[in-house]
Amino acid sequence: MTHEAPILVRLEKVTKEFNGTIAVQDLDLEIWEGEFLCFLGPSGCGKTTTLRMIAGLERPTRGEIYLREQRITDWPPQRRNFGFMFQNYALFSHMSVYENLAFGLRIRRFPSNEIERKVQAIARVLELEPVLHVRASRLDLSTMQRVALARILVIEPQLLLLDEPLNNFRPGLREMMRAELKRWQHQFGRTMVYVTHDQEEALTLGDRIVVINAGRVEQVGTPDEIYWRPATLFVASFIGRPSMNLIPVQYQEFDHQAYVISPDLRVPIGSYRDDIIKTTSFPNLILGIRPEHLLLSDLSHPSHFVRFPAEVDLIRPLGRKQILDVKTRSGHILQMVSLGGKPIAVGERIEIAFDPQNILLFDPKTEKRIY
Amino acid sequence: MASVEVHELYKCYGRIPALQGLSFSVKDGEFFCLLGAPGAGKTTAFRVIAGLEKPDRGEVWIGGQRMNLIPPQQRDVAMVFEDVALYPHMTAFENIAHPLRLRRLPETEIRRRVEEITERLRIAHLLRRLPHTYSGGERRRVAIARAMVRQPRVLLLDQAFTDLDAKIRQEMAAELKRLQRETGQTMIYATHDFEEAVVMADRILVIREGREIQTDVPQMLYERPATTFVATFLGSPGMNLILCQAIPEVKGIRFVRSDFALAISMPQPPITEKREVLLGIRPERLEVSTDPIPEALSAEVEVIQPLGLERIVDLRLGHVVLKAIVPIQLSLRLHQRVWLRWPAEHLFIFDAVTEQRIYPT
Repeated sequence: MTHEAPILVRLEKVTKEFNGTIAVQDLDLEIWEGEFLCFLGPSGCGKTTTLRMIAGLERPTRGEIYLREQRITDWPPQRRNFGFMFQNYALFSHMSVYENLAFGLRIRRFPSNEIERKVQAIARVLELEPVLHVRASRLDLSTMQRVALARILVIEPQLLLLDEPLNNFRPGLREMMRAELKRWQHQFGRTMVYVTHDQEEALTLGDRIVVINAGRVEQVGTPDEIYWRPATLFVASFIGRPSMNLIPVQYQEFDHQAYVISPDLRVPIGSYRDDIIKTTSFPNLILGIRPEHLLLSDLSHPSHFVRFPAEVDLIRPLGRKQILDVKTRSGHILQMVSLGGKPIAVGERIEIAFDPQNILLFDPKTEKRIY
Repeated sequence: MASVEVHELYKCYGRIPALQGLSFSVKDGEFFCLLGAPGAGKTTAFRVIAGLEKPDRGEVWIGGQRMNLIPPQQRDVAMVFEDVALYPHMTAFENIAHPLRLRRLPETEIRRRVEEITERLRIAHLLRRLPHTYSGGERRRVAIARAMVRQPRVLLLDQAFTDLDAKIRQEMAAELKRLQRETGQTMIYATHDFEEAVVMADRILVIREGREIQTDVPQMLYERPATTFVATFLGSPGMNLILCQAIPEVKGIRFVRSDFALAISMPQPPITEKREVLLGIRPERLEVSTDPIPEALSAEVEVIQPLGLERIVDLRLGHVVLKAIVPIQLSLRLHQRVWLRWPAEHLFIFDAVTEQRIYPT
């Protein structure tokens, strides 16, 4: 899957209202053939509604949906030939696994020898042969998930839509099933759209991630782009744990050199002055820096690093690494990650260093990244 | 404030044992955590300490005084539960003042104390508002304020933040820790979330099936887990464990499975005869190389999870999937072959049956 991959489904200015409340607003999106696309956002952000519109279970209030440039906005779900998998797998519990898998083929009127062949083939791949004649109600959760997936794959859909399918799993199993899903996607090369509120899941599974908030797309990008180049303040604070430090700063110039300053910091910013001066709330900006980019200052750090004093306020020992909450002189609390090294105590005064190249700047009004 | 000691607590509900000889002691002014899965006995232990439940056997001591025959209201223990019960028709001020009114404190004293605690918990803006207008985090703050305002000898918090979302939960944990440090309040916190426990706790007791598995400072639980349960419970992700035969050799141990074998040199092998063990290594200690290492085991990359400057990768080695944390500079592709180094100083060995740690001794 590359940028040259053909577009399978395209959403154009799609809006969905429920009784006057806007659930999804002016959403533009491309789903590329063969990719694993994750919708990520807090609950109630509109990600499930978007998925249901792609599936044909909801009709957009405005906007259009295209399948390979054919308009499908009005098509009923069955005509789209997409597979869905929701949180509850909705298996027919009184039927055997075999009957569950054959069901979709029967209603599509496949000849019985064809049904037999297809069911056996998918059962082999997903290791369901031993349970083919077991009733669905007797299966454990992870087998149920495999049956649910097999039931979708057997009808050879051109697009798979999954809505938080791993929510019912306990933590250890959930990670295992996540790995399985990724493996299957690789194996079958199917296009998948996957809805989740769990950022780890999205970062692990997604070739690309669509971050949705309050019915709007905040950013579409690869996991690395979303993490290191967040387009908005929302993405910056939503992705990453501990989350990005955000510090209100002001733009100033000294001796023809541009800086952003706060009561604690003075950070040189080389170019980009023009972009910054154009921002709506100039000279007020928000500086973002990831906790892993704040370092305990030592002599090995180059001289262009920015340094500032702070006091350790809280230590979160997470085994090999510690997350430190540190209080700056002005009382701002920042989080940083410290990897081993010398032991540190609460109340200790430390000096923090960072490379000014690692900062991001946001416009506080539009909440968009400008640097 | 006071110390808390429990000795050999037993409690059954019908045939179901909830506590099976639980003992621990909490120092005056300490922040102590009970860490265990749901159903491990944490809530029962709290109910016994608070006097809401009679133990079948065992003793509870608070501040050096035996509590078994003391009714709950005289124990001076406050509790905050997961489902916070505030009086819906009372403002935050009235909710927090309530325990003081019951004690008939003078109005000026009530006002002073409520203001002090709400200041500390940063909820002064809620004082005149009714509970239905609070956010989840604010409800917890008001409940904690109400529990602390009467300065109980012990504060018990039972999964007080469990249902908050991850980010607010971490913030609340940090705040509670600060508050505890400033006030010196003895606190016992029950949770199943180790990240929450390590932020707050001076010491953590890992509880399972009503029994103590291990009690220590957070760092030691990580460095010297007593059992595989502790090893996998702490850490994100937890320790990798591989069931295999350990065969002692002159200068090391051979770990053998049907699908691979691994020789580790150790000057003094901790085992003397062949036995079934669980070989453990933390994901952050497994060294992954994209260049072949002679005689090293090789594995296939199955899943890659980006995590800031690091990645968590799943590596398949025969039938085993190992997790490793690797720096972002190591460029990896799915299904790539990599080679693994197992630093002997970071290995753990557990008995396969008892799951107790054998090495490091």
